[in-house]
Amino acid sequence: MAKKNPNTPAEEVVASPSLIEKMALVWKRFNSQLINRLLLRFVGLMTLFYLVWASPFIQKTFVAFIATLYAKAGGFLLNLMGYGVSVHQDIVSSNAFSISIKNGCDGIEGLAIFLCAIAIYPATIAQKAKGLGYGIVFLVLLNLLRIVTLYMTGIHFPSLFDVMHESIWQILFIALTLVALFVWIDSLNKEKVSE
Amino acid sequence: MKNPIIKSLLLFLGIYFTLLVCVNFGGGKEQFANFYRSQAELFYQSFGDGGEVEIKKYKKEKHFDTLFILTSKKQKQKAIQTARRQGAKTTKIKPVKFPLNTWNAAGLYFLFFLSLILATPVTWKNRVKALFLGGFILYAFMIAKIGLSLWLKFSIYHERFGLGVESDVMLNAINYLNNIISVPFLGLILATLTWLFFCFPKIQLNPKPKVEIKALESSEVV
Repeated sequence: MAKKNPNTPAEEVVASPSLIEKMALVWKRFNSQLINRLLLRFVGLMTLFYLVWASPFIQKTFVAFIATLYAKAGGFLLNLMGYGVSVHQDIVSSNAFSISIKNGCDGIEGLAIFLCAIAIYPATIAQKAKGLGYGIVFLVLLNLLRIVTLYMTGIHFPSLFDVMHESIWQILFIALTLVALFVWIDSLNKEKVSE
Repeated sequence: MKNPIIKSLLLFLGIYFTLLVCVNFGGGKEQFANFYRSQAELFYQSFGDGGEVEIKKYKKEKHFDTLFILTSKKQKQKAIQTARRQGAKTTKIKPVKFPLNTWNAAGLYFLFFLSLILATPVTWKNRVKALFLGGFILYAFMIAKIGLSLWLKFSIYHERFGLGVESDVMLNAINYLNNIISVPFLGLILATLTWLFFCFPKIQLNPKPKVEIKALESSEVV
C-alpha cells in the first residue's frame, strides 16, 4: 500500500461558480450601469401606476374626470374654430362626427411615463419641479392638439381617421413624451456645465 | 441642425412614416395579420384541458381583421350526450367569438421598435442584436397577451366550456391584469423600454476618429 507523502503540496482546485454565484455576477454587472438601475426603478413605478390606474374606482372617478375635462377643453377649442360641437361627458359631437375620449386618448399614460421618469432621475427637487411644470403643460397641450386634430380629421378626411388615431398620434405622443424627457435631462447637463 | 434631440426625433419620424406608408400600402398589415394568426394558432389551437381555438380572417367589420372562435371538447361531449338522450341525430354548440385588430394589438409596437432601432446611432452589429433580442421580448409579450385574453374568455364562460378558472377572485384578478395588458400604449412603453435597455448604453454620438500609426523613420532623441 502506497504511503501518502505528507510533503506533497495540496492541489489547487478552482471551484466553478454555482448558479447562485453566476446569477449574482450577472446582477452585479447589470446593476453597475446607471441606465439599468434607472430602467428598473422606472419599470417598478410604471407597474405601480398601471395597478392603480386599472382599478375600477380610479377609472370611474379620476380617469373619467380627466376625460371629461379634455372633452370640454377640446370642444371649446373646436367651437372657437367654428365647428359647432356639443360636449356630453367624454363625448365631443356634432351632426357630422363625434369622438369619445377613452383610455389611451386621455394622455394619462404619457403623463405617467413623464412623472415616473422625472421621479427616478437623479436631480434636485427644484429641477424636478421645473421639469414637471413644463412637462405637464406640454403634454396637456399636446393631448388637446391630438383631440382637436383627430376631430378635424374625422370631419375632413374620415378615411384617414383610423390611421391618425392608431398609428400616428399614439406614436407621436410617446415620441414627444420621450423628447420632452430628453430635453429636461439635457437642460440638467447644461446646468452642470455652466456651474 | 444643431440640437441632436430634434435631429434624432426627425430621423425617427422620417423612418417611422416611411415604414408606415410601406406597411399600409404594401400589404404589410395583411402580412402581419397572417403572422399573428399563425403564431396564435401555433400556441393556442388547443388551450389548456380541452379548449379549442380557431383563428380566422375576419372581413365583416373594417376595423377588425381576425376572429377568434372558442369551443371545448367538454362542451362538445356535453352537447352530444344531451342530443343522444333526446334522440336527436345532430346537435349544435354555441362557441364564443371575438374579433381583433391585430395591428393595434401588436403590429404597431413592432413597427415602433424597428423605427427606434433604425434611428439610433449604434453599430449595425448592435442594431441586429437589439432587433433580435428586443423582437423576441415583444413577441413573447404578444403571445402572453393572446394567452391571457383567451384564458379570461374561457374562464368567463367556464360553465359552457368546462375549463378556465372558477373562482370569482381569480377571475377578477385575470380580468384586472387583462385590462392592463390589453392597453395598446403598454406595448409601446415595453418597446421603448426594450429600446432603452438594448441601445442606450451603446449609443455612439461621436464615432472615434481612426488613429493612423506611422512608423518613425528615424527616431530623434533629444
